[in-house]
Amino acid sequence: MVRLKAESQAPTYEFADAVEIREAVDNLTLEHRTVLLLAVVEGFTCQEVAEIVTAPIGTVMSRLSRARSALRNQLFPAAPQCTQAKGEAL
Amino acid sequence: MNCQEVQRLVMYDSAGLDAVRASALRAHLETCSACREQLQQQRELDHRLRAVLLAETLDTSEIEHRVRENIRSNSPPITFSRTVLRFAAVAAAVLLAAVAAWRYWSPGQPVQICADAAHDHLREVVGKEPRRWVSERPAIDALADRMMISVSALSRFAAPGYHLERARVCRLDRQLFLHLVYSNGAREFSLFLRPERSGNGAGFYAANFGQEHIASVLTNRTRAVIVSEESAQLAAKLARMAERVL
Repeated sequence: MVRLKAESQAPTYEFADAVEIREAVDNLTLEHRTVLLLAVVEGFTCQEVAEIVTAPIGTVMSRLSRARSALRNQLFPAAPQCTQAKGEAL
Repeated sequence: MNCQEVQRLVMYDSAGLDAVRASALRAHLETCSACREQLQQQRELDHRLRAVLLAETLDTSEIEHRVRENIRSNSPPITFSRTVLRFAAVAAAVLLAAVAAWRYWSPGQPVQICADAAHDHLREVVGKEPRRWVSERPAIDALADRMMISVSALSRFAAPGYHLERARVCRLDRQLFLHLVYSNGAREFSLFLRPERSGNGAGFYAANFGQEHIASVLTNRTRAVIVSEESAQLAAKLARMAERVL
């Protein structure tokens, strides 16, 4: 189970259950799962993943982003998102 | 750089940033606790994912599922009576006892290695699960050389019509093996090799795990395991060849 940090109510995945994580990964679409495993588990960069799956890098980045969002939503449905749409430009 | 841009980087790949953008990202994170926290969560989740998925142990559920599917598709629908169920339970118990006896009273049989090899072949070759493969021949030779495996022998395992397509280093029963995949365009078989200093040249055996035909041989210098879906004869033939060339 994903636990909350007492002081901030932000999720921490440090203790996320292995079964929950495997289930969450299995629930991803094949395309999302492939990109996520290549990038996060196998350590390929987005450019390398794009070459492996023969897709444009923009598509790979978009799939990676959606895969991560879906994973977070499954593991912690109420995870707070950053609501500052526009921050201070640096 | 603003929060939106940082969120995008956090979800994509912040490792490949150029120096200017990396510096802007660092500066933003120093002043924005929300983005800092999100990045920290993302790293925790990535870390956990790696820890869980890389630590996966032998999972035979896929093989069992395929065996069940195969049995179901080849059998007419049956309504089980109590007698049939009782008989099936007794048969299953006898089978389990036989398997247990075979595992524990057969010293030197590389059961776990072969089970792991079948599992790897099913997931990585048949199931095409993403793995980091080496496919250029010089790189494959370098990998074999690094593992002290005879490079010249690799081509001799290419059965008629097959060629050596890719390779990677893997673990079978916690031991490092070189996993080679040979393909004829339509079918593929796996050859797992590992140098064995204590090999006594006495071990050969063949088995079936679901639809995978496995043959294993232990020569004076090397352990070889072949996994093929094509035929038990092909696996045995290649294992016998390993006896001669390794």
